[in-house]
Amino acid sequence: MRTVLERYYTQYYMLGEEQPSSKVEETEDHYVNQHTNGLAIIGVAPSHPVLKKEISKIEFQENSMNSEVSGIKKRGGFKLQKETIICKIYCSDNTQYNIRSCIKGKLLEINKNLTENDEKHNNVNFSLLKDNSSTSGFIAIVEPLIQAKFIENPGLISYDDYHKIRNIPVTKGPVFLKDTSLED
Amino acid sequence: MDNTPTDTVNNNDIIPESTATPNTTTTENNVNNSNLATEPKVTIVPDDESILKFVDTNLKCEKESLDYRNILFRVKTCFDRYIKKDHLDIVSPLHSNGVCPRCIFRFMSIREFALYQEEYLHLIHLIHFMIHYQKHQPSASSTSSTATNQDKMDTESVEGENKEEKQESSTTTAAAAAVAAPIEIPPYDPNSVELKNSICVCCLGILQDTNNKDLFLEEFVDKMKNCGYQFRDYSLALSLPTSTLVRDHAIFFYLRENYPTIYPNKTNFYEKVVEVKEGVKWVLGPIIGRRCNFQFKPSSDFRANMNYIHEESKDDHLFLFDVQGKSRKKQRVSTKRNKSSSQDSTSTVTEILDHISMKDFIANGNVPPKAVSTKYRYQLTFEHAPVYLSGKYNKYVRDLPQSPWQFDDNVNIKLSVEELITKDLKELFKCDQVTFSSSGREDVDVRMLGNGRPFFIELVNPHKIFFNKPDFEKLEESINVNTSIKVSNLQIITKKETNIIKDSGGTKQKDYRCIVWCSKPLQPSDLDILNSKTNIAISQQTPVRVLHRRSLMVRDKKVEKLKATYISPHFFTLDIINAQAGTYIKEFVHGDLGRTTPNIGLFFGCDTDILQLDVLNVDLDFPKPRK
Repeated sequence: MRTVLERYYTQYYMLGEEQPSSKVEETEDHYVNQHTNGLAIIGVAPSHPVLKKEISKIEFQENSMNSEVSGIKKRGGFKLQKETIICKIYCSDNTQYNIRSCIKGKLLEINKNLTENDEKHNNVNFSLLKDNSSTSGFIAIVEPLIQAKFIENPGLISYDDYHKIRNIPVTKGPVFLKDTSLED
Repeated sequence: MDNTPTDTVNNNDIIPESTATPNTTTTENNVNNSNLATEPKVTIVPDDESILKFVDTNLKCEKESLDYRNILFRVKTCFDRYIKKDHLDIVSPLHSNGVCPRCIFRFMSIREFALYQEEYLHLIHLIHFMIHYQKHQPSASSTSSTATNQDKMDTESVEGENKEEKQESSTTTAAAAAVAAPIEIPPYDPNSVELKNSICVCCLGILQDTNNKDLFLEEFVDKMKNCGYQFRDYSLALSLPTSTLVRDHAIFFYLRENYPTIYPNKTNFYEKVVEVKEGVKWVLGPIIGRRCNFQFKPSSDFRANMNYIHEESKDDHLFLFDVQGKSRKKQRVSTKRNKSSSQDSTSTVTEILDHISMKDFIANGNVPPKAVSTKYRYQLTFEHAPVYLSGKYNKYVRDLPQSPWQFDDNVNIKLSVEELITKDLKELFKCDQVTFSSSGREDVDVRMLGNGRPFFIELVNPHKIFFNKPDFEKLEESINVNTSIKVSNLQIITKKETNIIKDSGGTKQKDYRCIVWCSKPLQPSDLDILNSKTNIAISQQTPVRVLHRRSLMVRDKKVEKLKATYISPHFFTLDIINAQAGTYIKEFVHGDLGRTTPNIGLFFGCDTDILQLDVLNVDLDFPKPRK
């Protein structure tokens, strides 16, 4: 949902690196949305190939599955490096995609809804990821190591740069007039 | 007696008394001279002259002067009314060991307040009278075959005095006669005794001086009167040097050893001996009541803390640890005890004193206690229990946080509801600290409408506590000058009543109104989906918005009813009725990345967002409007 994202988050992207040897496709891009409070949401960017394919399985890594945090200080979360794989997405064409954490930090939460069985169809409903990748189809919530100058996390690019590079038209949600009335 | 112009020896006012010459009889002039001459002999070397002042007992009144008769009258009255005639034999040894009159009464188990309240001059004469009386008892007089100088002097004055007294003050002689009826006791002549001045070895002057105007009382009453506090009643907490306790025990054991009949074996100290503290309270209580119009209450919100200090005797109790160490060693050999912590505390000393044997105490301590050369000092401090100001507040703007926003450089950029309400309170209540608490909170961009949100403010150590209705009205008016907020129902509540607000956290329900945007165009009838829902159970994961300062968990909340009103295809207002305390309303509307389920968007199968939120009602009717 554009409006909530634009209000609460600063949106960054991480481009998939072209690595012929490791079969990384050119547009395996991630988004990293930083909330005003510093926390980051990781997910697949609109240009990511999985969104155009039929997904057969989403599998979180064991480390991510077992990660649990407790207390206000979130003790015990799985430590993430830039390249740490959080989950793997398998597609029906036998391709496999690694979703990485993109930034150094601590894993607070993974989106278990992505792998939960749909009550109606009794199978996993992958439309959550495909249709709402930017919101309820997020992959994980991370407490970043670098919070203050978030853009200094290596490899991140801005929202505008991303849309320019990938040649995607910028779509923004409706802008609402802020209520500035001072009632007596 | 200092107001008597006819006093014969004004010179003596300024001359320090010598303790070294108790039995010398000289003329008054000689007394002066010898005292001056023997001054170097005096063991007392005061560090600070102002500390070492005594009640002026050196005044001699002319016979039959008003003062003279008054002394006799008071002495005899006190003796008749308050003194038990047994154990008079301990008076003389205690007196000669430097125990002050009131402390002597303490060891005689006398609990007559009025006696303690008597003037020191009368009491010192009473002590001498008792010694005099005891000496002339048949049993006593037989033992003391040789008359002292003082006795001679007494007898010399007997005849003349007798005659005069009979003529002029029949009442005193009658009283004296009543006392002395069975045995003939020569009348007591106040002028005949040599009154020595010394600091009491037990109370270190604390009880000794306690009702003397010049030495203690005027300054104390002044301090009490000018404490600068408003209060209903007061309590007085005394803290005495531990040495007074040790010294009391020393006298206690001294008496037990030398006068076995007074304290039978295994007598509890506290059963027989009146504590210094009690004596001080008996004396001071009525005076404070009379002079300051303060009403005493054992436990009051307003407390005067009287802390007595005596440097000289601060190590008096140390020998106890050595004694205790020996006996402890017998019990547990291997235990290494640290000689630190709170060993010096009164409770530790009390505990050791309760268990120490008389033999150990006498062998290791000073029995009777050593004389001291300095008096106590004291610190008088005051404190008032917190008072609680309560009320309700409304917030009419969307850019005002409830509590101050602290930034890294500790500078508040924005004002807050809390600051607007409390800004003048510190000054108004003249208190040390102001703490704001409320029944829940709303976000910075949320208005607080309706009857307002209950809050209370703890005012720590307030000097001013009496406020009436106009005062509260005025305070409300001054706060409400800023139209961003409005406070109402301001009043003082009790500490117990603050729990109404504190405990309301989990139970109270709230009504909200918000404006919702919907990504999909709606027909008015589409809103029926919402209006038909009742008792919606919501499962909320800690919103991302607050996840950085709250722990991650799932909260189950309930909303009783929804009421949606159509505005336009993409907009409607939504009333959320009776939401359980702690429901995150914003997340319930926009879904928080699908982490709050169900949410309003889910009901429509599209995105929804919340544009404005108001709290309409906090379901807590407290505090009630002022009467």
